[in-house]
Amino acid sequence: MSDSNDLHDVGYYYVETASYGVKALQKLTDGGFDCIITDWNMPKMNGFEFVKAIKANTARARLPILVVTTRGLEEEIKRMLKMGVASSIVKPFKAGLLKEKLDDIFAVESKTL
Amino acid sequence: MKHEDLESILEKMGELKALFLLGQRTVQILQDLFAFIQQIVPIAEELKAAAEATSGKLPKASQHLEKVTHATEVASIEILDIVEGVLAKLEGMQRDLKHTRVVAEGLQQTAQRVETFLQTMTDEPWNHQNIEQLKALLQEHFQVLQTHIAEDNFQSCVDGIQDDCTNIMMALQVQDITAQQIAAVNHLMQSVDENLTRLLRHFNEVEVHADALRYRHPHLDIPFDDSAEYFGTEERQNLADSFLEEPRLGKKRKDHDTGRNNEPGKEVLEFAEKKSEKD
Repeated sequence: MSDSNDLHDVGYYYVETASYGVKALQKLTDGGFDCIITDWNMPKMNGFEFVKAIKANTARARLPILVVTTRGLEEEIKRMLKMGVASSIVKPFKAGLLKEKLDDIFAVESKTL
Repeated sequence: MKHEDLESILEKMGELKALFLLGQRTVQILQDLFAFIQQIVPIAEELKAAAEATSGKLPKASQHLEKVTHATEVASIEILDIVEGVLAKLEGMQRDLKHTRVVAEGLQQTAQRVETFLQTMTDEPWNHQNIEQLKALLQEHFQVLQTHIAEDNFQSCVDGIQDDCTNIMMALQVQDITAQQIAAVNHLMQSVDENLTRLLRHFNEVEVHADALRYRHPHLDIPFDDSAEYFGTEERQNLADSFLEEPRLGKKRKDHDTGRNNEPGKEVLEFAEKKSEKD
């Protein structure tokens, strides 16, 4: 679950979706985003490459990233952390957990501003 | 030199000639054998490599299929248990509904009695006794209403069913995991097929069709994580959270010990702090 309806259900209404990484990067160039939610396994560009591309661009490098994964294994999470990922959700998950993670991310963001 | 000696020499030379002829033929055979071995060695090596690769891949494919079965089983049991719970709640709601009908009838009767009483009182003057009578009737009416309010489980049942639906949706996310496992099996099958095709090309009489497109199907052509597993519990999430927080907390401790300014990782530390407070 990661489409806009699920996010609407947990109180996040301004959502842009992209079917794969390159499209998401194109959308990100328009700016105006507060957070990125991405799958780790994606067609054409995987999560690792996607996060790397985001972090490589200074304009969007500070955007918090929430990664959705099917494993949640130690080496995978450590790799994400090293890359600057804010948090991760292991599938399957409930909408409540998604909200909790996003709330945590935005609470941290508001503190740093 | 005697005649016998010459004959003996000629005989020996004949033997030698025969030996050379045999050697000549043997060399040819040995050359053919050598050429054959030269041809067969790479095939044998390829066969060995293919056998090694295949022997690793097929059990892996089998493991993936086992995981698919297990994940589907876990999710199905979860969904069945939830549906069982939903059915029990619906039964309870049905009972409540019957009770509500009984209560509604009771309310109707008491309201009727109040109305009849008030109609009889239109032409009569009000006194203490009338008021007490009306009070008793209204009390009876409110008592019936109170019983209904006390026994109203509707809201909790609806809330429960809503939670159950969320849990069913969560369990159905198993499809995402099993699709990845099956895509991994498909990939392994393709790789085994490629190995076999490469081997079969050495045998001219065998017709070989190597076509990767045969393994391309819209629903299987997805990026997959061959370690994807379905647990259906929060255990994996908790573990992932602990992995995420461990280095952050470690960094905080380290920076604190050295007295270094940790400004660049401020948000990360605050996040960790917040989480640890919460925990």
